[in-house]
Amino acid sequence: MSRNTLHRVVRAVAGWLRRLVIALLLLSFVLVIAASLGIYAISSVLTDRDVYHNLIQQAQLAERAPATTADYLVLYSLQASHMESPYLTGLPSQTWATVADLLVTEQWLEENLHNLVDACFDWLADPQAALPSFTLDLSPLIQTLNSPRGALAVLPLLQNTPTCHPDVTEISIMGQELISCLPPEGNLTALAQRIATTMAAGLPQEISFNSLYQSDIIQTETLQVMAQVRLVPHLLQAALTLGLRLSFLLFLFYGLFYTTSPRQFLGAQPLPFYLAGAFSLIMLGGLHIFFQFGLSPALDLFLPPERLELSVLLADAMRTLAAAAGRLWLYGSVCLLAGGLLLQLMIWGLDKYTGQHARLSDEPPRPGRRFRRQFR
Amino acid sequence: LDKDPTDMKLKLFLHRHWLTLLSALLVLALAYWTYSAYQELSLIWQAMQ
Repeated sequence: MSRNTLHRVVRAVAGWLRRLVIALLLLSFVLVIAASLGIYAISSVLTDRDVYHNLIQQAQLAERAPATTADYLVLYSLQASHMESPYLTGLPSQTWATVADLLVTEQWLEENLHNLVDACFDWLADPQAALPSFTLDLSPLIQTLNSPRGALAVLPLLQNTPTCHPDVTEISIMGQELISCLPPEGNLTALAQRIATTMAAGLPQEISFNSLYQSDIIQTETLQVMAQVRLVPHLLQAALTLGLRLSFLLFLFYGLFYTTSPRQFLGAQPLPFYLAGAFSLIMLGGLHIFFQFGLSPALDLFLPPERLELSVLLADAMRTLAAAAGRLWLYGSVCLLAGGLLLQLMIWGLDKYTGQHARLSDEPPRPGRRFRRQFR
Repeated sequence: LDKDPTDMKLKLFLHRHWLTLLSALLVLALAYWTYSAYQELSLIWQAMQ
């Protein structure tokens, strides 16, 4: 092989390698900038308390959550009194909805949901606070339980309780369960009222995160998880910073590998912006399809089947959050495409200006131009 | 003629390659900047474990 041929082969291989590196850099830039855009959208939504306040209104959480709230509150009151309740855990959501209608008002729930959001964000902002300073005032609930509505609320909870055997002489109320068995004859409403009053006596006037921690309902593991949750906004912010700086670096590398002159460097700029914008839009479309059709089946995998209403509620809440993040994501993608277009226009304008400038200057025309002019 | 040839060579080199040198400097600065962001992210991640 002659030296000339070898030289040509080496040049061809170097050319292909250069193209490969450019393609890899371009691909990395597109992936990193699209991921950064996603992190920006998610982080903006997750760390904005107004988004959650709007979510409570938009997803109508206060109207839809009473059944779940009543369920958890009654189970909490039993857990706080160290009772197990096999009959209650298997109750259908319709029963809890009936109980909730009597025990939990929408206004009370909405007010507490807004307070909870504020308390959680204050806790995130204050590194000294170990737990959110949220207090759930249970006094309206206790008042209701002590009133005749309390008996009406307890009655549906007794539907799975078996009737007492004729040999049974003693019935325990609020022992291991709400009631050990139902007497075959007797005033069931009076019995329900008694259970409701006992339940009200067992409930504290208010529940706070501190009281839950002291009564071992929030355990040390939960505190560790909460400490991790507290770092999530910082993690997202750091990931976003890294993503943006890395994309700058990749962009610069791409420009330097692609070009041999400042004019070529400028000409190489719009393409990554177009590709990144288009890829972000495709990713956004894919996520939109997942949230529309794949979210509910995915949630059903993690939640028990009897928690259907909770699954629907969670899916709707996540869709509302995703829609808020999606709007930011879409805005970012359009900005990337617009940035590419703006750069293209700037290059076009610059080319036009420099072309005019060259014509107006006193420089002699290039040989090629002179040649064309001779034959005009 | 009385100018130092080494000095002239350096000037010529800088004149020819100033853009390359500037780009290399920019790349180094950006790489360090990116690495510091990576370190910060890594610290937070370790704290979360």
